[in-house]
Amino acid sequence: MKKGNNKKILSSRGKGQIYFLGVFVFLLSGIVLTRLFVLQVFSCDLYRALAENQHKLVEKLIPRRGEIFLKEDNGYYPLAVNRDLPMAYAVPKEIEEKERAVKELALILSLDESFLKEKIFRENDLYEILKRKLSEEEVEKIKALNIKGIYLSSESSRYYPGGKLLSQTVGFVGSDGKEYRGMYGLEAFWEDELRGEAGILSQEKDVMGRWISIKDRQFQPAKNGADFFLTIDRSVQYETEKILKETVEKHKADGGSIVVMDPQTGKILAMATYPDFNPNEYFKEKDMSIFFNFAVNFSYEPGSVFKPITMAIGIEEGKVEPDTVYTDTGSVLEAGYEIKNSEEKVYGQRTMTQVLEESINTGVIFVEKLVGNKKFAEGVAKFGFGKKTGIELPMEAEGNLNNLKEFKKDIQFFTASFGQGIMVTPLQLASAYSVFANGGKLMKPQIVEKIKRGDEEEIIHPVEIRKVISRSTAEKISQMLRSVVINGHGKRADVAGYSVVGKTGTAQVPKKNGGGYEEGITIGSFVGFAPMENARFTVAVKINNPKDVQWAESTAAPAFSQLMEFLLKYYKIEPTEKMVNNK
Amino acid sequence: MVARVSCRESFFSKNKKQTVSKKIGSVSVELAVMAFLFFSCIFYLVSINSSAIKGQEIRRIEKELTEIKKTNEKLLTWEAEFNSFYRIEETALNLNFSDLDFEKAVFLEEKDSLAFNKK
Repeated sequence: MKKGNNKKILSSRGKGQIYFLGVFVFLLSGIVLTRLFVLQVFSCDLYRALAENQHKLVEKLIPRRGEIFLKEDNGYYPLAVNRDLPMAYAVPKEIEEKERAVKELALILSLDESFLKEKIFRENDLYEILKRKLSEEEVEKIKALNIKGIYLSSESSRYYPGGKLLSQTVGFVGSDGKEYRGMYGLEAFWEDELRGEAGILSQEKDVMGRWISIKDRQFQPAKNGADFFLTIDRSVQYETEKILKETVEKHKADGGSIVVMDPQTGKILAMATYPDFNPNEYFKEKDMSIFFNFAVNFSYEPGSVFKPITMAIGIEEGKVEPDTVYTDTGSVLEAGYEIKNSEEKVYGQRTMTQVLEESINTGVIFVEKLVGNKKFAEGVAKFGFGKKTGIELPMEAEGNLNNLKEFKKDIQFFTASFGQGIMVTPLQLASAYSVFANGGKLMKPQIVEKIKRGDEEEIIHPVEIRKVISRSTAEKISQMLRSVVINGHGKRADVAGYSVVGKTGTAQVPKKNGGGYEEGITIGSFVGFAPMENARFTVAVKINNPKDVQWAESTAAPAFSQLMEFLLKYYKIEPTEKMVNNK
Repeated sequence: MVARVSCRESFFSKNKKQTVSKKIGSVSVELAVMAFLFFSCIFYLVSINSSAIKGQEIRRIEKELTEIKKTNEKLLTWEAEFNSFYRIEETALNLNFSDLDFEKAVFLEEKDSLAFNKK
């Protein structure tokens, strides 16, 4: 009987306990399931990202920067290349002998001790760059030091094996505060192509950080930068720079520029600016104006080298011929101004050819008057002035033809006819004279010959912008310019045995604050081409503010002759005239 | 009894005859198959192993090739540096070279870089 009662008591209590346990387990399971649901569903992305971060290796693949080459003999000379250079860095946290490290490194790396102390004494710092582009000697000495926390690594950097060669045209790669990129010149203009495109590698890694090759892998290779091959010849460029430097230094000028162009194609064979700099040491320059290319980035009032342009417009419009005669009275009066000839000379009766030979200001005013202001302005624009040439270099100056906009202001047109009051670049002048040299076509100046992108090669072909004058006009002007060299102010530009043509120009420099021209400051130019019959080279020389002589026939003309002689011999051009010992 | 034994014996002997394997020459078929399978396995393992090793070899050669390319680029840069006109000019100055007067110069051979100035 007792047993039965106990059974009854047990079963009701037991039932309750079991019921309670069941509820407890149910609640606990509910909590766990809810938590699992939250973790796996709501927070799925977060934990997936965390897991991927642990297991995934993502690396940015750095592309190789494209290189730049010059023409040389039968091949190419590397002008801008990539080079792995060693650099020293410190892990300050690991350095135990800090004082010793500072002293020894200051001696080896030629750095200030205070500069090194500031980097090495940083607490808990993991990475400080001490010096880049180390020499081999510095590398060996650091290795011999054997100080814990001082390490060497290599980084790719830009190097210019030619040193100063073509410095303003090639530019350099430097930091703009955020990243390394091309600054000035071709490095800047073609930055996007030279830089290339970064690639990406995404792969799963194991606990040791090694790739798991059988797992999913995302690989997009880096696209290396394009390589550029220039139209510029290395030897011609060096000789051009040498002659320019000698001329500037001889006459104690402020600087200068020379452009050498193939008039048939517009290809630039040389482009020099002096003073120059070494792109490997650009950071040493204090005056940033040295990075500019005088042939392209700055315009100036050209002076008498502009007279053949006026003459060509006059002949093309049918207003004058080379033997048209006019009478010079020594000056022209207009709007209260008196425009005189150089040195206030009076020439009397002269032909148009003699106007160029003797560089008579009133003679070209005579031509401009016959042409008319509107036609003259149109003619000048047709020669490419007042507009960028489109050469593949940054910050190209357009020049300035604002004084040719108001057709009623004759005085502006009169002064423009002899190259004052308007602004042009040496490159525009070289292009304009090439019009005379090649039978009347304006060719686009070109500095890049081909671009290599991986296995693909793009050849850049010459571009004819437009026909400016007829062949007949071009030939007449060429003959007149030959006369300038034989009989006029261009004698010192001549080269024995060759029909060299060209024009001098000694231009005044406008005052910076406006209102007239600077006293005693001139820019001497000579622009010409050779041989006359089948022109191969157009050369534009500009010398800024020579101190010992005033006239371009003593500064720019001899430099032109020296360079032209080199060009004709270097390219083995057959003489076009009988050699006469008249120099 | 004897008859049963003999029947049994003959039965077993029949079976014995039936269980005797066929032979290829002096080698039994089963043995031949086993041997074939064994050597196939060995061959498979060896070929897999050599392919794996080749992969390593290829990777090693690729690494070497990359190193050689880097060295080649370095040498080309050095060559360009030494051929730089400005460097040659500087070196000539440091070595105190004098200018050559081509009109008075005598070359040791017709197309030679070695010459001396004739007084």
